[in-house]
Amino acid sequence: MATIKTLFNKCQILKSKTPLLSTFIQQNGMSQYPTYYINPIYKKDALEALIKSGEDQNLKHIPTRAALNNQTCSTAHDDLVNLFVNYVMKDGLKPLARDLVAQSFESVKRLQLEKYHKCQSEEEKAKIELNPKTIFYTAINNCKPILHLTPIKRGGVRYQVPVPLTDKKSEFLSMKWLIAAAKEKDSTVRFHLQLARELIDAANNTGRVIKRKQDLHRQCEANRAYAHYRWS
Amino acid sequence: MLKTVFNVIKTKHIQTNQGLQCLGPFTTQACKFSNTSQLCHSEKQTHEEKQNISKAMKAYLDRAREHDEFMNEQNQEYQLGKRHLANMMGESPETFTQHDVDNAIEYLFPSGLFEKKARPMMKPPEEVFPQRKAAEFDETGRPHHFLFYTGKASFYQVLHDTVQHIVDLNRFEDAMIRKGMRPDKDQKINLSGYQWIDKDSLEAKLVETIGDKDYESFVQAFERLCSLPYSYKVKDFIMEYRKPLMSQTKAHDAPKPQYDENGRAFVTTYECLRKSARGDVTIRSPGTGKISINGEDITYFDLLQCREQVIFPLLFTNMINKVDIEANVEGGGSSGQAGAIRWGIAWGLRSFLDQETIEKMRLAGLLTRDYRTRERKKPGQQGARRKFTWKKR
Amino acid sequence: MRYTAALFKSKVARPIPQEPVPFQEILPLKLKPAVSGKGDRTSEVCCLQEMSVMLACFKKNEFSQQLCSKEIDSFQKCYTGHLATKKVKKDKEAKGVLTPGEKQLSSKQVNTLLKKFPNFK
Repeated sequence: MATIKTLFNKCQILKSKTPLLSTFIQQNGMSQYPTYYINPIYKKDALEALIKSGEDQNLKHIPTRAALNNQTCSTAHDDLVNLFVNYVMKDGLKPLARDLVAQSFESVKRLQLEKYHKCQSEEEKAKIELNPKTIFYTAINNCKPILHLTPIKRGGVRYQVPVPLTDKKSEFLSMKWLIAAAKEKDSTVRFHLQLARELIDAANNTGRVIKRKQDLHRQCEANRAYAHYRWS
Repeated sequence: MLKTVFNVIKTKHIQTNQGLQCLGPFTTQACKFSNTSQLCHSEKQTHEEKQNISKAMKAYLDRAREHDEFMNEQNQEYQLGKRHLANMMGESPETFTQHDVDNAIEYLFPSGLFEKKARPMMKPPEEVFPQRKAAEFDETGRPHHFLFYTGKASFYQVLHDTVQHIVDLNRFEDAMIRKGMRPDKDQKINLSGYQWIDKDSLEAKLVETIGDKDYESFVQAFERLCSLPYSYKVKDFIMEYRKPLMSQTKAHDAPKPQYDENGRAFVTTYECLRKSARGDVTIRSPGTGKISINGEDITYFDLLQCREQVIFPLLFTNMINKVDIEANVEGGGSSGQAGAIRWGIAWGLRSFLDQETIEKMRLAGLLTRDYRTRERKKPGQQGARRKFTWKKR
Repeated sequence: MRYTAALFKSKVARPIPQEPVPFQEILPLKLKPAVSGKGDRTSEVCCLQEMSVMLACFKKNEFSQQLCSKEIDSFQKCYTGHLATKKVKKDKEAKGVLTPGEKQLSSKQVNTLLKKFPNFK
């Protein structure tokens, strides 16, 4: 009897002491989290702003989801760059994609520094942007289309109808075009170098991606007579 | 002795099924079961005025008696089984609680079944068999409740009460406006962190089955009541139908740090899990920011992302050069191991931080354990979601 | 061999002039207390004016966006505003919530209104 009892006690010790999330009352599709879980606020300044506005009092009793493994509060972390890395990624090779983007940022820095040192006057030097992240942001912003064409069938005829884009969709298109332009290169040129060139060009409002955007807008302009066909 | 207990449990299960079968067909609207006290009371009356009893009442009384006998029998068997179990486990039957019973059953009949309800169990019969309603009508067959013929008397009673409260509060507000008074802002009802009880628990509370539409109108009525400026006057009534989303103390009560021979405080977190990785993390304070993972430093991880994850909680709490970390992990890949260590560090750091920072960590999603795992492959499909390429023939 | 009458029928039969059936009111005429949701789909073309202004500006300035920032801003403001109002309206319509003074009602809103004020005789 005594042995059974000691064994039994040992079993109890082995049991987990940390609180388990196992009993979910509300199912949320295939998600592990119930619907009322909020997304984590992992950036320090965002959290400070939240506390300053006093809205954290409302979140006091609401549980948060765990922060994802690509989210940190480090100053080097950037959401848009993270998204861009995900778009560059092929076959789930994230370390490679991250490396490529980092290398292209380095190339941007090198190219800009080269330009900077070639400049003679101080005024010209002041004009050159040296921060790759700012260049990245302006490039993405400059490549965002405002309209795009969608085929709509009316009376058996397919019309290309110009339709406004949401911010998210236009951001996606701009990143996609940048990556596509960087991939369109000679086999001797490295991807990161080409991407760096495209980024710099786009930030200066020149280059292939900007041209692509303008072509799309030109087409939209040509088809503006069909604009009233759209329903969404 | 083991065998006897098993027999007890087995027979109990069989009888449970029989009991359910014999009780099943009688759950009609007009007749519902009662508890013992009411039954005795009404039985006495039947002897006195036999001719005055309605057919429905008679049928009900028969069924109630049957049910009570059945429950009595079940209860006796349960008590007997509990004594047997206590003897087997070498404990006193008098002090053997339900918690002990559950543990004993889990120990004696270990089950690999995934569904918890399908595992062997031994519970008091009140928990196993669903609660029945008491008689809702008197001897002549006349219902007690004025909403009896709605079919969901208790549910509509709740709605009725809610509307009554709304009307009362509106009248009260009018009176207050006439007096020139305003509602007290400090007493305003704060409902954040609570939610309405879900449909199943409402059904269990009312002992009635209700539809989705009914539940919707229940929520709507209560939300209307809550939106009134004087709703704090009926706080107790509202809170009966709300349940908390999270108990805050869960994240906040950290263990007291222990002290080693050098006088340094340390906290060890066991069972740091993420994906297939398992590990434990020890935090020592004061320290110099040394990190050792399986005997190596942070270069144990080749990937930058994993290294970032490991120092995330330290960076977030500004403890990066103030504590030493020792971690042992095994299983899984690098990402899972880094996630496990991240959670272990965040969980252990609570002992060295104040409440405010812990709350910040909770909002940053550091204290939540990430239970997401790989989704299983399905038969007839290429993967978890992907289907095979469709071929016509 | 037997022939059915149908086979003898000429294909281009002359239509026999029929007397129109007079309408008899057997039951009193009344409308249904509900409407179907067929006519709910409305065209959601928005911001056409802003769009044409913006495109004209694009054409004038060789598709450079810096010179048309004012037009672009007004167009995007219009579109985001339209999306927001659409969402609010959709939520309300799905619930059948009535806003006083609204003239264009969805089928659900009409039904809630008809239910609230039934036509008794």
